[in-house]
Amino acid sequence: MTKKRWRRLWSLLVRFIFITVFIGLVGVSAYVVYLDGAITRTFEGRRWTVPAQVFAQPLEVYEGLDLSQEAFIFELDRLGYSENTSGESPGTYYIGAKTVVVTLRPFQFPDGHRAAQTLSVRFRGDHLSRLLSAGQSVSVRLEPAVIGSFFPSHGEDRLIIEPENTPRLLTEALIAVEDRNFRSHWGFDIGGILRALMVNVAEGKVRQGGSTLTQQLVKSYFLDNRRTFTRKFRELVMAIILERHFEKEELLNAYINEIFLGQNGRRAIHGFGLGSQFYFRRPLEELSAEEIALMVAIVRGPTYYNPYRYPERAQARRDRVLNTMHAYGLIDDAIVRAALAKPIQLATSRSGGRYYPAFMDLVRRELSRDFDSDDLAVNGYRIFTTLKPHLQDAAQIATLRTLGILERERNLPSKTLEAAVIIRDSQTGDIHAVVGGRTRGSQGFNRALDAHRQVGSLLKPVVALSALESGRYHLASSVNDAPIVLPDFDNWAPLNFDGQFRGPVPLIRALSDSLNVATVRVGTDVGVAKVASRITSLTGKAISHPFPSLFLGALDLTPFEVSELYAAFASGGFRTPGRSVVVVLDEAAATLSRYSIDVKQMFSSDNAAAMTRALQITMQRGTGRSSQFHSTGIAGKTGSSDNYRDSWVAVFDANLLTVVWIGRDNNTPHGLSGSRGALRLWDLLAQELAIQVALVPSLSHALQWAWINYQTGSETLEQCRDAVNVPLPRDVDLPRGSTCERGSDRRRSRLGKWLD
Amino acid sequence: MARLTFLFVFLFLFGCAANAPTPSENQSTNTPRRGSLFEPANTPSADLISNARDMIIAGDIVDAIVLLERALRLDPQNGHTWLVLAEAELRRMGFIRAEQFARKAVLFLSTMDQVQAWRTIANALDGRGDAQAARSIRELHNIR
Repeated sequence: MTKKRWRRLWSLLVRFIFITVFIGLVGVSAYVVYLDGAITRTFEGRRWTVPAQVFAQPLEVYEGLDLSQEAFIFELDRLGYSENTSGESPGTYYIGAKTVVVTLRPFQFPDGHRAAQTLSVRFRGDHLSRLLSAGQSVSVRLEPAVIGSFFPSHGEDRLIIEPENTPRLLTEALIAVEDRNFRSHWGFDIGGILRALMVNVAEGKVRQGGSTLTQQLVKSYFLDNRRTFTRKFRELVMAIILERHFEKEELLNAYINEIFLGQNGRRAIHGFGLGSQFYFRRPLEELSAEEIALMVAIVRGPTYYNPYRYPERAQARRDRVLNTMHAYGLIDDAIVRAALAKPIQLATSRSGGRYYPAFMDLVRRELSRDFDSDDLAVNGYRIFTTLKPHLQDAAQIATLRTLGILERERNLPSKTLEAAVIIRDSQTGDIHAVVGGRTRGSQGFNRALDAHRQVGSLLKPVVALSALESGRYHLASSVNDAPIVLPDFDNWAPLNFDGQFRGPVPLIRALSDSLNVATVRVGTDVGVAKVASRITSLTGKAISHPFPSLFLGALDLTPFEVSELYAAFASGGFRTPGRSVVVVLDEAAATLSRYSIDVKQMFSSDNAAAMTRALQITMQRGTGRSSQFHSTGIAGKTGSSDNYRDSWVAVFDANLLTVVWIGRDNNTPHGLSGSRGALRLWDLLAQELAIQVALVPSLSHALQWAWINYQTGSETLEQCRDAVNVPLPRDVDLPRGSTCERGSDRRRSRLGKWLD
Repeated sequence: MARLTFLFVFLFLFGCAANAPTPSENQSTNTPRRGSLFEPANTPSADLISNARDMIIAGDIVDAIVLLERALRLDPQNGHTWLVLAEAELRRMGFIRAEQFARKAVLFLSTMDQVQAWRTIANALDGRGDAQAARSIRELHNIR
């Protein structure tokens, strides 16, 4: 080829290269411009999805409260408070010889902010006897426990930490360990890459990464974990763009709130704020040097350095981080020595939502009326609920223990029985605990809300109430417990549980002893439509085509619906809808939605008094008498369905109403009546409750208290056997009894003689 | 005759002093059994009620109701809390809720204090336009 041709070829090649590079540069520039706009817009707007935090009911603490020191410390531990030598910094307590000193954390309650406050607390036995703050007697609220969060479908959960609340030790440790030139580079660090390469080659494994904090932020926020050249190039470009538009401190704060730190089932732990709660159950600002070091250590590989699964590995990395912090002068000799000597200590419960799934389910359903599930999951709402963790824990423990005992006693296959428990305030309707099954933390079928089971004898009080409301019955009214046949209903002939008939019995006994035949007689007389209507008014559940079998509980209700029904009895005749949410606040603590207490009188206080008294007697000497608390003034009713497929009890006092169901998911018989099954669970639970007498409203002038014989309904005296005191119409004319009444006749004649 | 007179005087004085009889068969009084956890014996709800009343006077009804609900959680059987809650609802013309809260208050109040609750109920009924029911309440409970 001639020289001229070579020269022409060379010129063409140079032009080609020039044009290619030019087009490439234009393309890259356009791409960079596009990325610049996209990243900036995204980053300047809402940067993260911030899940809603859900809080339990705060514990109110005051002088005179029945609360032992042990129980108080337990509640502080639940909130992540740690014991130290003074108790003078927020989140700590000190147990002295006679006094507990505790400094409460600041907290934004729905009705105002509570600053950090140091308290001096004294106890006398099981009572809180003295509660002082700055020498003054006070009453305070502990901050409510976080019981869960609603996070988006992609699973990211986080607690946003503002720069002013970020410990300086954390930011400096991150920079020292992950990106020592963070404050001077432009998003990437050539020196860091080379350094990491040398260390990794020397040690024969990957010890250091070359990515800057900015690059890690980009990878976590915008990209994925693919190790490709293209992705790495994009990461580099995006990091430079971020550095160009945002301040270093902004990027650092973003990193602190974004970085992935672990997985808890479906929930991805993002950010050091939530990471601190997840691993230590304490706020970030309360962490010690070794705890901060552990969190920084986890950053490199949350799965590989998972401290729960690989504690030795995590501790080794933590110690390297501590040494780096010391080398950089972030901690002194004494601190690093002490920190290195401490083993890793993590929170024992990694709950946060999975712990109370049945209750969270109720919260979600209630909120779904007013909030979109997406809004709940991304806008950083704060949801305050009515859960009382100590009652929830007690209910869950009682459930698991009782089911195990029952299965062993009755030789049932292990783990075949299930249960549901609802505990609510008798007067306000606040739902304090929901147990959806025997397995704590399970997010499966929520039996408390969704198990529609036949309620059996639990409906008999409604029959009795309907009878009282008709005006033709009172608690001493005679009802014939004798064979009955209903020709209009396929000649249905109900039987009592023992096949026996007792003849004329007072209404109170028919209810208390759960006599089927007497109940059907009363119900038939009152009318099935009336009884059905009453059930509907108390539960909201429509009953189409009611049959007399309704009197004996041929109706499926969920445990929650049963609690709605019995709430009317427990509250003195008021429909008191159950609720789990008190208020929802937005990120700025403004109220979005408030759910107020709501009551509506459904039947007269006289009938409420009569029914509560009747249900007290049911527990004292009727089907509830096997309870060890039967004589404490509680009221309630047991129930079981056909062939003992469902075991129920509803028990209340003036303070709490509890409904318990036990059964099998496949609806096969288990042989447990209400008293042998559900009532035993309640008995175990009740050992953790402060039992009160059930609320019996005062009587109007139309009624008076009278002593009657429980067996016969005749008039009697207090000191006689089988005497029960019940409210009756003033003008009632009771038959005079034979046993024990002779004494009263003699007294009258003496009185008569004295007057003569 | 003297004995009869003495008897009547004695019964009269006794009748004035006695409350309505309450059930007593194996039944504890309304003093709660001391349990192991969290029993509202002497509660600080009195301060909350007092503060709520001040708020109502100042026209801050919503915040007053928030405080009263907190007081109810502390001591749900305090008739005064239910009554003040009824009065707060009355102030903001929540007549249905005012009536119901006042009816609830009746359950827990002494006979003397119940008069105020019945008065609130009558006022709520008036507010709802049910003057006849309000009149009946006033007549039945001797309220002016």
